[in-house]
Amino acid sequence: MEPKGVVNVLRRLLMALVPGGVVVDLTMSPPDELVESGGEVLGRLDGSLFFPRALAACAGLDTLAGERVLSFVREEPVSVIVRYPTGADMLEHLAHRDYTRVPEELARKLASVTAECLLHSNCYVRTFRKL
Amino acid sequence: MRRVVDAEGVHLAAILRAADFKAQRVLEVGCGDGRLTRGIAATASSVFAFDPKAADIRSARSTCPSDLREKVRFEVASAAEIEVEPQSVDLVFFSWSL
Repeated sequence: MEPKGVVNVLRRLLMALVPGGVVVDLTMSPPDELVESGGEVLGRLDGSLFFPRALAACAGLDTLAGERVLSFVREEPVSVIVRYPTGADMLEHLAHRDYTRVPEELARKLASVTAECLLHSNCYVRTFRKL
Repeated sequence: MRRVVDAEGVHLAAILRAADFKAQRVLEVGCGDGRLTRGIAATASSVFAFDPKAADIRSARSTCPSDLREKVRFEVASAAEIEVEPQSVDLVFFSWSL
């Protein structure tokens, strides 16, 4: 979703929700995702295009909470690890992402790693209730 | 490729801690390939899950277990365009989609 107009899109989606209904928002948060293999940090992805969108969506929910459309209930940080058999597997998967880029140097390293590679992401889950 | 997403199951566990999905009518915004849909559909009464990527929805449909297919509906759509009946769901779940 484009940051522009996010509140209006959220407002429209929330019309589908019954009063008192629940909103659960799972999203990734900075810093950029970290790549490692064999205990060695290979680098970080470039989320400079992704995070502004994610943050805009979060801000959109906060705006609706500020307008008393939603009531904030709770928030929980979550660390996630995605495992890939090889660096090439990770590159292949990341190529399908629209807003996350693999820096050139990291891509070169990953292409040569034949061992398991791990991708560490920081996420959080927020819960709201519709008023 | 044998990708293993969230092997520790922390995503799903955190989501299920965040809210009670049991017997809820759920709208999932940005379901991707449906890996979280399957987890929440196990307890929800129904799930309407959508994503703008047709390939992901094809994958979600093909990997949805047969015992969940009656209560899960996948659709290719964007959050900006989807039409959902007013006050028809109990829970809206945004999964990295926004």
